[in-house]
Amino acid sequence: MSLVYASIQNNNTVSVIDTESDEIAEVIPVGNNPVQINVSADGTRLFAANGGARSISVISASTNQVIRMLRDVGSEPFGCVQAQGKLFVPDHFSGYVTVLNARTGRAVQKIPVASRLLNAVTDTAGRKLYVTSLVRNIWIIDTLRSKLQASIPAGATWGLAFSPNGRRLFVNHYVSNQTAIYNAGTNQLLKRIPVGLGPIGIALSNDGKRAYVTNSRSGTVSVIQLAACRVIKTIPVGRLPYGAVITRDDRKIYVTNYGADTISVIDSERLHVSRTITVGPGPRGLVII
Amino acid sequence: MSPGKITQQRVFAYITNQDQDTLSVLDTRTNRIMKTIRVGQLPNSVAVSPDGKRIFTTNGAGDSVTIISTGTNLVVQTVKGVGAEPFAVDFSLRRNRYYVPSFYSGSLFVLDIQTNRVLSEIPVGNGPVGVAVSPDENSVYVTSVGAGISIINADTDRVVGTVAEMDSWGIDFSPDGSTYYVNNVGSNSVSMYDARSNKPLQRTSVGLAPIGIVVSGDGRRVYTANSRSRSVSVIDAATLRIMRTVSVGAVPFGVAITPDNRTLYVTNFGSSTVSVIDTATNRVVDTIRTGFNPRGIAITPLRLQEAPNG
Repeated sequence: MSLVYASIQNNNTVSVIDTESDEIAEVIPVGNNPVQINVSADGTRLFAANGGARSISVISASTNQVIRMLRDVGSEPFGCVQAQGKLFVPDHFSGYVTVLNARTGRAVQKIPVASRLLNAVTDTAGRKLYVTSLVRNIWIIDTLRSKLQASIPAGATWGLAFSPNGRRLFVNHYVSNQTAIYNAGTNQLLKRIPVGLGPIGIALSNDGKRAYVTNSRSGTVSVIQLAACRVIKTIPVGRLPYGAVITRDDRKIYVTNYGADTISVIDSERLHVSRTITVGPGPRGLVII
Repeated sequence: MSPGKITQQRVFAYITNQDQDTLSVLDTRTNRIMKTIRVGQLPNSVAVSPDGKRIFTTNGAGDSVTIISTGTNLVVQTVKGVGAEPFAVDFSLRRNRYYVPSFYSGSLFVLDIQTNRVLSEIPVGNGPVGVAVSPDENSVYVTSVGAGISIINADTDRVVGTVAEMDSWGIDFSPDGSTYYVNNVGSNSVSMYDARSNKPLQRTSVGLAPIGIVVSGDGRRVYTANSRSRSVSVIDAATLRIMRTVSVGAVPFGVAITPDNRTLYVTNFGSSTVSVIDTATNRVVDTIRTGFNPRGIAITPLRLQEAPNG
């Protein structure tokens, strides 16, 4: 059984959704304004970045309880990604990625990166952290050395994801309304696909065939067929779709509608919304385990 | 009350504590916080109407505007329907209107100041953040992450032009309306534009990621809050030359100046403080503890001071 965890920004909780019943199984209180939620590589821990509390709530995936609160982070933490025994926390306003020792929870380093940092993911090996910015570029951090290694030139970028084989990096270009595909080995831009307005979240199917992109200003999800690099369907969802995740069997896509206080469940076969789940106010980040 | 006492009118600084959903009222004479008022969720900006009667906060997560009376410091109304994540407010009293850009909606909302009804929603593009009404109240300027600076004709509520400068944020006009100043948050600079032609006249590097900006009431100085450099740049408004860089707290966000132009207040989002800068010496003379994550700031305007019997 898979569970979807959604950060509900405006009531300071994380909702847990059972993907079999598509019902809310549990509501976990976290810190103020959780913007993003991430999962550890081993799937045992969830990290809710509390943007309004300068903290990270660490949740045990086995008990769904907050087991720890990390406070040694920046002024508006936007996510928390584990790699190399460390936690990397991009900070939206201070422009740092704060590096914490995952065991002690203490900050060991602050890497100056760029203004208005947003989402972060690692490559499949966990050696590189890719961070997007509302100002420009995709910033690449060497996770072993905790150093800024390179950047890929781009305008404002937001959600990003790797292909299941790790060879392609998909990045939403928020301002130019496109999803860009990069060669993850060379950082070369391969393709830019026009999507809806203000693309934010992205989920890649595990079979490597499709990408699902949330278009925040259009209230839609673009379904991209990766072989042809084109949008095969645009699905209306709720107001202000933000995050997106897909089940392991690729059958269902979950989308948070930040402006509608709902989660849309998309049937990947029929490519329509099969269910709308009412959650708390301001659902934003999503992970699935 | 004799006219001589009118100059004793108290001047307040209003500060939104974003992550406590409150507004702090700071007396600029004593530099003490006198009152803290509950507003909507995630208040990210504040403005005082030019007649000095009302305080408006935009509530980023409440998708609302809270209106407070300056006389009583009580909430008089909460206005909904202003889109997703309203970000700023400015006014045209002559037109009985106020203008609210909303980040995720990508629009500027036009509201009636009496009825608080939304009169129109003007699409501008991705990520609008700042707004300024020109002093003649004929144009409304909206800054943004991705749509440049949109220029709106206030008669028709239509976008009539765009300045192609990405990642703009704070915007303020010179008092005579001939120029306006814009923070380029992405390129760490400030630009001065000719308000008639909308052509850039000058550009100067400041600290990293400048957000808040204010032009002094006498039009001589421009101040920018450099969010990633823990500093405020003091700039000569005529030449755009940097005169001084003043160290403040972590993530300085908003700036506001008293009507006598003597004191500048800066919110330090990351330190939960306000820095008070003496504009004659350009030194921090006081640091005041606020609520959590102070962001927006506005000060009692000049007109209230001049009003008979306050």
